[in-house]
Amino acid sequence: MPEDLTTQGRPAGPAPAPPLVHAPATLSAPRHPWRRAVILALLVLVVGMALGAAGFAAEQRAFVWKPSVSETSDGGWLVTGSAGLRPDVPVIADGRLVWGQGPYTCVLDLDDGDTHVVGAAPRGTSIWPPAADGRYVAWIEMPGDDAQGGPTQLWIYDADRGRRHSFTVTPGAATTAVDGDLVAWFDGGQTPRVVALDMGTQDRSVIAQGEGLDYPVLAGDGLVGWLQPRADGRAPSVVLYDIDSGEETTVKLAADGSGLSVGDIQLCGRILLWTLQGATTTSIVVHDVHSGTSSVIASGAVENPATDGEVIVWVVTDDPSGTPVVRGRTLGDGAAGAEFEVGRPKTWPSSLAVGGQWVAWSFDDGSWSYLESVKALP
Amino acid sequence: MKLPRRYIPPPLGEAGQRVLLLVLVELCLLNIADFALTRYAMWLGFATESNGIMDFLFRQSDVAAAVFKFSMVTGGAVALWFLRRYRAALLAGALLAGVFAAVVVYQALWILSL
Repeated sequence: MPEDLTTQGRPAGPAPAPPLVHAPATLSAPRHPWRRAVILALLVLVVGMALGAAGFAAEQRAFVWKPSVSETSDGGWLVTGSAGLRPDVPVIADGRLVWGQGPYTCVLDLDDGDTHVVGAAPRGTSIWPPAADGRYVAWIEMPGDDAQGGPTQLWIYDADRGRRHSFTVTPGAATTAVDGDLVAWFDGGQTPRVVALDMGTQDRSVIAQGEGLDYPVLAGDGLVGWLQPRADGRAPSVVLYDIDSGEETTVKLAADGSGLSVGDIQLCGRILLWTLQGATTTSIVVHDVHSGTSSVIASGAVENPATDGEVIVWVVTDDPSGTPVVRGRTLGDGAAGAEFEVGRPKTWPSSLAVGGQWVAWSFDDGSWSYLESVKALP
Repeated sequence: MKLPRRYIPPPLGEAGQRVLLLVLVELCLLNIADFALTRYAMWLGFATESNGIMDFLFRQSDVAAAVFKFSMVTGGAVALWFLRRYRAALLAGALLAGVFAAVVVYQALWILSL
């Protein structure tokens, strides 16, 4: 029988020595080989993020302009500007205060003071002041000869979505008007035109064209309006175009040969507003485009009227106190309501805005310029 | 005469290669975030693409821009992985990931500030 070489059959003897094993690398490897790698990779990430955040903070401090906004004791907002960056031409729409300040276009949420610079035109660019209604703010930037180039741009900011759109328009474009989703502007090409853009559909259409059109372009209550200046002693008119029906209505702003100068033309909601300035007094006139009736709201030493279609405000310049007084009247469906005092700006306001419960005015104290908003209406 | 010997750094060990792999994964993810934030800022209308090539591609289509950007950075990451035995690969990967992290955080803060 052959010898059994299996362990079982092996004769008893000393156990074989275990093989000599060189100390393997695994014996000295860390118990969690990826932990250190993850920590180092995260360290790279954190250092990069910290550098990015520091760079952003430094840039914001050194190079990014922000308007100076502070809350007033009565719950309003005060924007302070310098002579070179005067906050002016305020508009109030949908609880937001919109204004131009030098090359910047700014939007302030009147509820919480949250402020956004939505437009910053390049150096040398002229800006037509912003118009606003509902969620949209529109303005035109025209590059000058020494500007950094680029075409004339119509900018539209959607305040609800925080989104901005730009459209190239002709170099002679001027004055924007907003009514809901509709943005209209004067397109001063070879043939003057009034162009409207529906932000809902992005459809752009020419509302009117030909000689005899002039700005300001107006928009309100489904209407787009424009000025028709007249010469030879004839008074100017405003033409109102109904977007839905295509119907045109002409509103004469003064009697022919009256010698009164027409100014401050505005359209908001159903109310067309303008001033008639004579030698000694100024009258504020409103025209209800639904009823077709016109009435004088105030007259005397009054200026800078503004309306949101529901309320009209203006500045009285001959108050016995010697200081400017902002007064207002509600515009009911029928006749206007009683006159009331809105507030007393520190110095003479150069422009007014009204919307909802808010009224805003810009003024200048000689060294600084301001834009103040107050919650003054019921 | 003996010439001075050139110093040859030791090859990147396994631990270093693990860091490189993670850093390259970070780089690819940050690249996607960079693309998304850039596109979002452009959509908001507050930013324009300053890189001429990317600007051209964005004008063609978002897909073209995305394919180009992702393939460039992912290709670079793969190339660095193939060079993983060199310490310079880890240095380059870490540097790129750090720069992308800085850019992504800057963009995110900028968008939040609008």
